Amino acid sequence: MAFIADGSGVGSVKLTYTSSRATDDLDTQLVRAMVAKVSESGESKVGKGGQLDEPDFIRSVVNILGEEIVSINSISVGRTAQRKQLVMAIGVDEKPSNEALKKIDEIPAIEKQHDEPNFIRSIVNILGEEILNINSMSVSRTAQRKQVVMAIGVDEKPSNEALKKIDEIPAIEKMIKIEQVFNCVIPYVHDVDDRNSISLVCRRLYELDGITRKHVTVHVLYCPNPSCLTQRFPFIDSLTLEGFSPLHINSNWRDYKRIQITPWIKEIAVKFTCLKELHIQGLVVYERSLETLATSRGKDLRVLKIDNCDGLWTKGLVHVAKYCNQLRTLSLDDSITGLESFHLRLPFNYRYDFEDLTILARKCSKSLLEEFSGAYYGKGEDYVDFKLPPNLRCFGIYDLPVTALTSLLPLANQLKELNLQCMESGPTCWCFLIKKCFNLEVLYTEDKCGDKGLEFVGMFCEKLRKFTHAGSDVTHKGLIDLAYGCKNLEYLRVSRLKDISNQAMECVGTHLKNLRDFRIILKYWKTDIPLDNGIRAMLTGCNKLERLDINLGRGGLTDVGLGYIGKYGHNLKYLSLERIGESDAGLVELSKGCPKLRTLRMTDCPFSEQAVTNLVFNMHSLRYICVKSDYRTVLALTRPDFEL
Amino acid sequence: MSTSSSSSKKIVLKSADNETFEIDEIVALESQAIKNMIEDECADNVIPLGNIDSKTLSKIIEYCKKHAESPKKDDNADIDEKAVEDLKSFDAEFAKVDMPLIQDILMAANFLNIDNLIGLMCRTIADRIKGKTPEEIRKILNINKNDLLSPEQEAKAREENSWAFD
Repeated sequence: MAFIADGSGVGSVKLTYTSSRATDDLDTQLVRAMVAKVSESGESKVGKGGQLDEPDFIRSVVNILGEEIVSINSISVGRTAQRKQLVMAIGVDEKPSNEALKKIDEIPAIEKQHDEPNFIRSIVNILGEEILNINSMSVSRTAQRKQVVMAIGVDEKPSNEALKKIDEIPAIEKMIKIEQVFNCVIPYVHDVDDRNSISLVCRRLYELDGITRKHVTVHVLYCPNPSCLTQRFPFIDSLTLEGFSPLHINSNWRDYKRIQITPWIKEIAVKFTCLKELHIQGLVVYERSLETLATSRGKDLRVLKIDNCDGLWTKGLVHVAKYCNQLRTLSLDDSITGLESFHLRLPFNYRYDFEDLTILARKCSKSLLEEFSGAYYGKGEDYVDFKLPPNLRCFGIYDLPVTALTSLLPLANQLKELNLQCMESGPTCWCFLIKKCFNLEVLYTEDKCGDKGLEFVGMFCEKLRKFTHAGSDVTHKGLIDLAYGCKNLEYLRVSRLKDISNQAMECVGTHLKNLRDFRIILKYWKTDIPLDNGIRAMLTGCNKLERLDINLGRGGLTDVGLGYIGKYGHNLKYLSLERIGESDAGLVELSKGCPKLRTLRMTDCPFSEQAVTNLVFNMHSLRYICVKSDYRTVLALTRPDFEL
Repeated sequence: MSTSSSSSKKIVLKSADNETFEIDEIVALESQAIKNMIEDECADNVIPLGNIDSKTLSKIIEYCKKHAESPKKDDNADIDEKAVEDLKSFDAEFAKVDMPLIQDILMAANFLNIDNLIGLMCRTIADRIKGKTPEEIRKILNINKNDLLSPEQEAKAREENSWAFD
């Protein structure tokens, strides 16, 4: 029996038992122990009545008790956890008389009924039909996970018929247990697919998942009605609204502009009282939307990210500055942001009010800046005396001059993210910096060090999770060194591969067990093709892989290799193929597998329209498909419009 | 029944099916609920656990004994790595029981407030349903047909899961 509802403690407790309890009963002892603990902690809050199922019930209980007891000094109602048992605590100034207690003991009790959601309502209805006055009501459990005991005091004895009716109210013991078990288990289920599966298991788990889900990503295109979301997940604290992203379909850029965020913001403003994080991607956002958001939810928002959005939303930033006092992260492009960060990069053609940004910057300067990225170093300016923030965790400045390294090097060992785009330093400086960055988790580099650079990263950046290499040409040798060293890699992108081997792919499969996102672009020549066996070994090893983006050139992967992608790509959600495969037979093999595939992009692949059409009909999970040939988009479809 | 040669204080627990278990106080202290009772001097007599059967209770005592014997993390910063490994493999072995018993242990651990055990059981259940389809989870949990979503509700939820919410 727990008396501390989540977040709200209990000041004092009065329990009513349906049968008399001895002082050494466990219940009694536990209660005493719990109460002692609670009073030590000194926390006493009144629970939120609004979140409970039966507001009317609680109100009436409170009224009735108010009449019965001389003076109540505190009342607290809550649940031990969402959807778990109701706990009601009432503090009274004086102990009720023995007579009153005895009277309570004599109240006809309904035992062995369980906590069906409609149970209380049903009983009240049945008694109401009999025109019986309820003079007192209390709900408790004999012990946690055991039956609910409900005591109702009535002025007259109910008819046998009514009692029989009450006995017939359905209650399913087993399901109560499943629900209680999952009350405990659900915080341990993080994977979205697992949450989705659980939601379909049965009614109770559907509801439990709904009220405990904390983060949801909505593909706005497929969920035109925002109320669907608020009804199913009323308590989420983090929401990502995704419209079209240029990642999905380049040619339909005009279409993405159609999707407006206004109805979503209206819904969020009214319903999502728990929202702390909002991420908006690829939608049309207007000033007034941000104003509505800032005035309604602004005081609670901790994180606001807006990227790839259209509309005159930058004007709305002034509202964000004015109302979002708790904001910790404001990100206005698609870079990853750390805590306590201010991250700003607007396209040059945006017209924004400089004053708005000044207000924002001033507000953010009070926090401890940990992320410093997205800006450009001014050319020809002197940075010798430039001081970087001491708490820096994430650094990413374009056109970094060598002179700036002096202020960066002392902080290198604390850096978790580093973006060295357009860095103006030679290989020696680069290697010197990387050697010191042994805590790095995310690295973007355009180094000029070739395989040596990958070897360095493999040697010194063991903690690396995300690595993008857009530097000078590298080969399978560098890839092997990297895979040996950075075993925690989840994201690997190498865009200038000069050569690749099956052995290197096998090596990726053997060592990078956490890889979720893998992209390679092979340029120039290749000595060890086809890579069919390499792809198979990689997919067998990297069984968490969700995104695969490969461009291997003609002959790089045959139809057999495509079949392997289908057969072993169990968790693939995104697949991009460029110059892959030989004939329609490969595509047929592919379409037999990849059960979770949502996005498929094919560029310059030798497949007929008929084969692509068949694939679309055979792969039910597919949401986006884009086929390109000779710089021309042949086909670009999203699911609702799938009409071929 | 469990006895120990040491002269430390004993706590007696009584299961729902009236079996009594005498355990060392140090073992009982793994349970925050019992610890609170001991601190409040409410644990001098037999503690009746009316909602825990003897099968579940003996498993819980087995767990608490092992964990009470092992050095605590906060006692010593550099504790024996072997002890940690030993405890890990004990936990892994301990969790190899059928689903109904795991659920019983979880509910009992929740009632007795044994944090580590709650975590262990929750992770075990979460692992067993990981990557499973709803149909497979129903089998694992032995869900009654009457408790399923209606076909319309299920179709709608499925649609939302695959298109809208991920």
